[in-house]
Amino acid sequence: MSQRWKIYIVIVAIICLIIGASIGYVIKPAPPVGIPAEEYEKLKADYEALKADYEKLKAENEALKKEIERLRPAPPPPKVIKGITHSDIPPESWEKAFELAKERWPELAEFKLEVMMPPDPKTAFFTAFEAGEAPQIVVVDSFEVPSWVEAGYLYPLTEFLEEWDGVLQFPKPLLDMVTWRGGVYALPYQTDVRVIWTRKDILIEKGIGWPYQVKGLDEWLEVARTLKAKGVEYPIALQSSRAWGEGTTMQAFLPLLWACGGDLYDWSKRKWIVSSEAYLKVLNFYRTIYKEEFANPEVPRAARPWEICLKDFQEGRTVFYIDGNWAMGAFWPGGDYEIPDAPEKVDFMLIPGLPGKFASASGGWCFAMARKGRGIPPDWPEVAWKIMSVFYSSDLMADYCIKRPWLPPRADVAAREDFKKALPLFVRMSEEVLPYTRYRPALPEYPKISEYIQLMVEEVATLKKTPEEALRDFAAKVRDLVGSENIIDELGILKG
Amino acid sequence: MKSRKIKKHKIIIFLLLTIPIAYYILFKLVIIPYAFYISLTDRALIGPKARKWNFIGLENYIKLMRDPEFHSSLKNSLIYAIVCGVLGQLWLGLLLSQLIWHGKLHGKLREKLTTFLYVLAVLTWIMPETVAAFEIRAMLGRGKGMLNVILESLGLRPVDWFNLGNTWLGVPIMLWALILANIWKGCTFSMTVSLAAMEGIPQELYDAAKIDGASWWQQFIYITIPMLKHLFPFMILVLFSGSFTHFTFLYVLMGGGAPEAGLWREANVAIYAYSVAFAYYLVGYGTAISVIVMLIYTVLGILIQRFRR
Repeated sequence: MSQRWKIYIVIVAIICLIIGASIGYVIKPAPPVGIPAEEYEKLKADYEALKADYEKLKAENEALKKEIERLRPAPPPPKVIKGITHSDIPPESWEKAFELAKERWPELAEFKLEVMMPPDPKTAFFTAFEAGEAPQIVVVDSFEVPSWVEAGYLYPLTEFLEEWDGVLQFPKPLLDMVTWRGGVYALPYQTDVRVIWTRKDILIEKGIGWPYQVKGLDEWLEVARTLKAKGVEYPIALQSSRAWGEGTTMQAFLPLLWACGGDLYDWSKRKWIVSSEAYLKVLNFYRTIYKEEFANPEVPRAARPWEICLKDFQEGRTVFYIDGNWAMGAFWPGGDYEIPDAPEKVDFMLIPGLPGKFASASGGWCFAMARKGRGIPPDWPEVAWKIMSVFYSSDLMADYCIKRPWLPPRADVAAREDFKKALPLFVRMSEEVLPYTRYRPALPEYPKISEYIQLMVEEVATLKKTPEEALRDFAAKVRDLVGSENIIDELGILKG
Repeated sequence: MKSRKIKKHKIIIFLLLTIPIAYYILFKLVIIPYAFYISLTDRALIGPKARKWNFIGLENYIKLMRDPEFHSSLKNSLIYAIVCGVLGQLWLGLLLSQLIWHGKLHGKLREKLTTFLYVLAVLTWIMPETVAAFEIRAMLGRGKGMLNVILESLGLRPVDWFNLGNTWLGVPIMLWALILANIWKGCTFSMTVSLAAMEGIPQELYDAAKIDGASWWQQFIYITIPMLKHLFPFMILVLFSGSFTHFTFLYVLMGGGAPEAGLWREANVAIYAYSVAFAYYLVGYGTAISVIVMLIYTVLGILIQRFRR
């Protein structure tokens, strides 16, 4: 580019600038329309003031929000219904009942169910109770209900039962078992009876025949003698030691005592009977069967005597075996001691005592509602009851009673066609044994006295003591436990 | 400068000890007077005495003096602790340690073998007690237990190890079964302690003994035992106290976790105290047994401290 062109461009640029400046000077921006400048300034000042107020209010609002957040009450604790159970009613059964309850009462959807199955449910419950964290629903043996009530553990179900028509299906004796001081504190979900399981095939083979019902203890000993002579090693098996625990008292001793016309507790006098002719009759029966080896002498000494008894019964060394209705599960198809064709080979008889007298014992596991801690009521008792009531419904009870198998406490369940079809033997038991059944004296002292009975029976069965010596020791222990004013010594063995 | 450093260290030690001391006071020392108080009451777990119990003074202790089941459980505890701890675990552990030590001093193959044996022995020790108990239970089972299967295959009569009627030397076979099981489980402790102590025995003694033609057994009798005998009182007391109130192992072994069935309540004092409190529901009486056991342990603790010094 030449020098001249450069000068031209600079001149044109200067001219453009001059023209632009001239136009800018001539064309001024228009002032605001309709508002004088002072007013505009005032408005602007107001706007600034309002803006400052807004910022201040905004800050206050934030502070208030924070304060409200701080003061907001804590969210309510999760609504939990807790339970302690054992393997008979495993947690899956509880879940099923809870699901059914939620279908029936949709408001239960906000609740959660937590079920524990510790190896020792009672100890777990006692610990939780002392910590003020006991579950609402617990399983408890019916005979322990009064002592649990006395300890302050249980919450009454009476008001719930008044509004629930299902209770009408429970026989009165069963309700009496769980009633204490006018209140109902638990409800059985199963019941049972004690019988003599009998190998009818062996009785037929040995010429005694079937149907057969032994009429009294003396006759029973005669039959055992006959069977022994014909090659049956140990004709009789029954619970006879501390190792069998409560089974020794309830399965055999108490039914035998009642069938012999005796009793453990006199309800009219409210005293424990510590000696009677019936006691001696029963103890002599134990002595005879072990002395003459009608019963396997290992049984009262073994740590797990039921294994011996069931094995002997399975293998035909034993013909008569006293146990609860549930024992059927052991030797029926699929059981641990299965007897081939068991329905054709096994049947039951009533437990005899004095000639023509029979007896059985019944108990039952229950659900009960527990207090949360000492003097603390359970949380949401009405919800806990709703879940419990589902367990007691006819359909669910029929389902688990057939599966276990158990005797149902509800009369309408025992009368159901599906139950009759599944467990015809149990239906016969309900009809033939229940009229003879009795219940343990459900008193707080009972568990300890039961231990004394087990020891007394064991000492006689192992031939360590005579019936008289063992009975005297038993009577003395009961006297020391409950006080001499609370016992009846019919034979006067404590005096002499 | 030095004293400031020592002071600083003391403060750190004090701070570090604060938590364990507070824990000890809260969970141990406070409980002891409370347990003693409960032992002076007739508190029960069920019935009216669970809600309102009475102060009965020393009645529980007087009752204990006349309780044959307590005497029996105390006797069983003593037999169990003496045979397990003093006769079984101590000597078997010593023998095992000698075996391993002896192996160490010889060829490589033996060393490997003894290391394997050592690991095997330690495994029995670290195995959880419940697992070990179920294992032993399966071995001693009446019907299909391994031991009885072996006995039967040899043409011998099977033994009902858990039958209280069977006795040997006047002691129930069941107690012998428990003793055997515990010796198997616990001898590794004394073996480990002995092995550690054997590190301190001068090697020259063994070398000299070998030159003199001493056998393995002679080395054990004339070198190992005299050199370790200062340890014996301490080890005996520790093993004795470990067995005296053994609970979990025996509880599972006998009852399989079901307290109502099969549990021999007089097997030892710990099981009897538990049974009294949780099966008979007599908490006051059960606690009195625990207090007696605590007193026995206090004496043992004092003795252990003396021997350590």
